[in-house]
Amino acid sequence: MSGPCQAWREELDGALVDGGSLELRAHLAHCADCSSRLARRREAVAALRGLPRRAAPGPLAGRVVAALNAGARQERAVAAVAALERRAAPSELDARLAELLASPANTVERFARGAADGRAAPDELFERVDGDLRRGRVAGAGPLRRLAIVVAGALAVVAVFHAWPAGGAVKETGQVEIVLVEVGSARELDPLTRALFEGVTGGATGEERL
Amino acid sequence: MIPRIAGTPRAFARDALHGAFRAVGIAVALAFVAACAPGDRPAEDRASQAFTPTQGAALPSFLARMPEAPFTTALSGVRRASFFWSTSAGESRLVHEERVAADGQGRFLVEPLVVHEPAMTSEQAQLFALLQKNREGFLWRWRDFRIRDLSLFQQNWQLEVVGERTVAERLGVVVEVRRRDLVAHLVYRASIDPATGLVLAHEEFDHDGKLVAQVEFTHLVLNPTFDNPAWHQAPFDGDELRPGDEGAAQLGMSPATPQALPLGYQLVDSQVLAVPGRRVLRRTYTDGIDSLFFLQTVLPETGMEQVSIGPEAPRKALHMRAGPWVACDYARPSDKVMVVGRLDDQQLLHLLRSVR
Repeated sequence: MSGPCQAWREELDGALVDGGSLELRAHLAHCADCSSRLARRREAVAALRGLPRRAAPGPLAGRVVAALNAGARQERAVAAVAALERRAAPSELDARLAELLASPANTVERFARGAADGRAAPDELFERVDGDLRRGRVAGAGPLRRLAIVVAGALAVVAVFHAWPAGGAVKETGQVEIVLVEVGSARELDPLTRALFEGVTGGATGEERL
Repeated sequence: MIPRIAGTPRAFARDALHGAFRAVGIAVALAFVAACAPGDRPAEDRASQAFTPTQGAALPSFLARMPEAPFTTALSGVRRASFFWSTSAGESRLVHEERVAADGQGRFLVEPLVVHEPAMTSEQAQLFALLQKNREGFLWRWRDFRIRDLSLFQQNWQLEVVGERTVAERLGVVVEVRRRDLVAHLVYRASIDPATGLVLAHEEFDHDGKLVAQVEFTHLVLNPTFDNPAWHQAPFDGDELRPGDEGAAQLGMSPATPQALPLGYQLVDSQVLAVPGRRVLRRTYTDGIDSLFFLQTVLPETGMEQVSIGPEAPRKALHMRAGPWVACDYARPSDKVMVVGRLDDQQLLHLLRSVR
């Protein structure tokens, strides 16, 4: 926080509760530093409030940890799958997910093959999984190993879904995807953006005043 | 008409000739009546006399005065400003009055007076006044309709003179302005003072023809006597971005540029602003009337390390709309870019992807 903003530091905490004084709110409208600090504090409070109130059942957590410990190879496979380029349409992914869930015994193999269809799966992963299949290491695995495979496959699917754009994004070769997310309040924008937006719209979008 | 086309050519030619004579006769009679009309008729009634389409012809000379008129005209007055934007959060209405003054030498002021809509508590009104005063420079330079670059205006816009109108006791020329690539859509109607090029009043319409903004003088005095007014003071310094490595040193990072601009826009200037806590590059573009702002700054410290697993996830660009305007924040790994302009989603995405 720069020198002129020191005076506002103590008031920022109060602003979390009552929005702050008139002068502070006017200051926040054009000071990115203070506004950013206040936003971070708001985020921290919101994050604390949003913590889950129930812990996961002990047996489930234990099984997941054990499965992951037992499946170091699957972890590497998950990482490799997660590194796949995402090109397939969401509907195709949905179909593959349903297929995976219906037959969990060879999840990694199915996922890797499905991914290879449209997403340039790394050869290394494909060959490794294929070799495992030939040696009967996956399909013939014991219950613990099967569980590890299911968990690893599920994690990979979740990772891909998590990264899938919510909408409005188009990926061009070699470019990162950009997703437009509409906000309901100008307060969620950078103070500089907000100031410009307020200026061109004549102050009509000034939610600070309300 | 169909039977005529299918009938005898001679009869058709005769009818057409008679029709043409009738039209000329009516036009002459109307012109005579108009010429004999008393001079104190309402200005709007004389609209047809002033009609001068300018597409493909020389622009009226007063238009050349418009770009600099707010800075070269000494004035004092009161304006009523109304905005009816549709935003993500719903309808936003603001109707208020403001006092404006300019000394014709580049100094100016904008002072908020009374807010008619929405209803505000006294505290809200005070805060609104404070914020409006904070952004008076921006309001004066960028909020209102005017031609900002005559050459780009001629390239991108089409103008028609449609009449005259008296605003704050000054007779203005009424013009309607449309983008050349959207000629069916009226965007602005404005009354221009021909002597100064000053915009006395303007209205803006959205794509549905709905009025979204209206600003007009309710009182105006040219060349007034000033009594030590509180002229606008720039809240922070700005310097022209220096070229090459000097610019990077000046900004504290490599300056970025959007490569894909909306059709017809060109760079006006690139300024490095020293706002509290950070340096910001602001590039301003225009298509002759409308403006587009591109900002770049370092990312604020978040205090949290970003963890990335696997491929790079899609990046979110936060945006909000108000009528045709969009404001957008886009955080990249090493900086943050911000865009405020009149863009649709595709234009915005295209612009963001093109930033280098």
